[in-house]
Amino acid sequence: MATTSIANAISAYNQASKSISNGASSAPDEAGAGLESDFSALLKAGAKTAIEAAKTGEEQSKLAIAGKADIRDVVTAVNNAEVTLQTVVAVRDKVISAYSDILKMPI
Amino acid sequence: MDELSKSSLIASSGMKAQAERLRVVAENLANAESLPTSPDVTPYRRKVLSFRNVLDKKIGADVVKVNKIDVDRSEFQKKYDPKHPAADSSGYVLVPNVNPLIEVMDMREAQRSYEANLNVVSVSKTLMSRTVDLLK
Repeated sequence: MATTSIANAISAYNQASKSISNGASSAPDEAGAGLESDFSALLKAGAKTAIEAAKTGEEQSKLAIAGKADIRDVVTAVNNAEVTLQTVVAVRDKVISAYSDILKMPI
Repeated sequence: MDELSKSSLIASSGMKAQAERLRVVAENLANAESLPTSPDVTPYRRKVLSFRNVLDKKIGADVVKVNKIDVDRSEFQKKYDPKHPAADSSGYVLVPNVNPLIEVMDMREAQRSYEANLNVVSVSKTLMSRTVDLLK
């Protein structure tokens, strides 16, 4: 029972990292990408998504300061950036805690 | 795109439409007593706007857009004021076809619709945050 649940957990993390890194980085990365582990690829892809969302939010805010943007667009963009960052941070924390749990495992 | 982000985008299109409606109401109310300058000129004509559903391909759902800002073609009312420069030979001045009572009700409706859309945005944001919080 215990072994199956651990195997399930590992495959679930594997799947999560794959789905996030596939969803976020559609373009192939630079040459070193193949050598990277799933974990760093996951973090990289997550950070990329968050940065993009934050950039959109900042662009909208800049337009708003200049009085050119619709305030509703600004709110939507900034909200979106906030939620994306929240998601990335939550996933990162979860994955890092899983990692340290594995490291602490007695061999 | 996430369904909850889509709902907030749709709701924000509704907010934009209602804001434009409020702008038209403000225009009508402000000009409710804009009289003509001479007898052969018409006074301010009330503006009305209509909405239209537009399929947003990025979201994959119907959003609302302002169709067209048109004018209310109803008759102007007349006010007896022989001293006014725009008074006709019998002393009547044409006044705008704006009824402030109707405009105020329209404003109220725009406010309520805006608030409804605002609630959609806030509910979808709360749900999204709470879902992410499940990871913590």
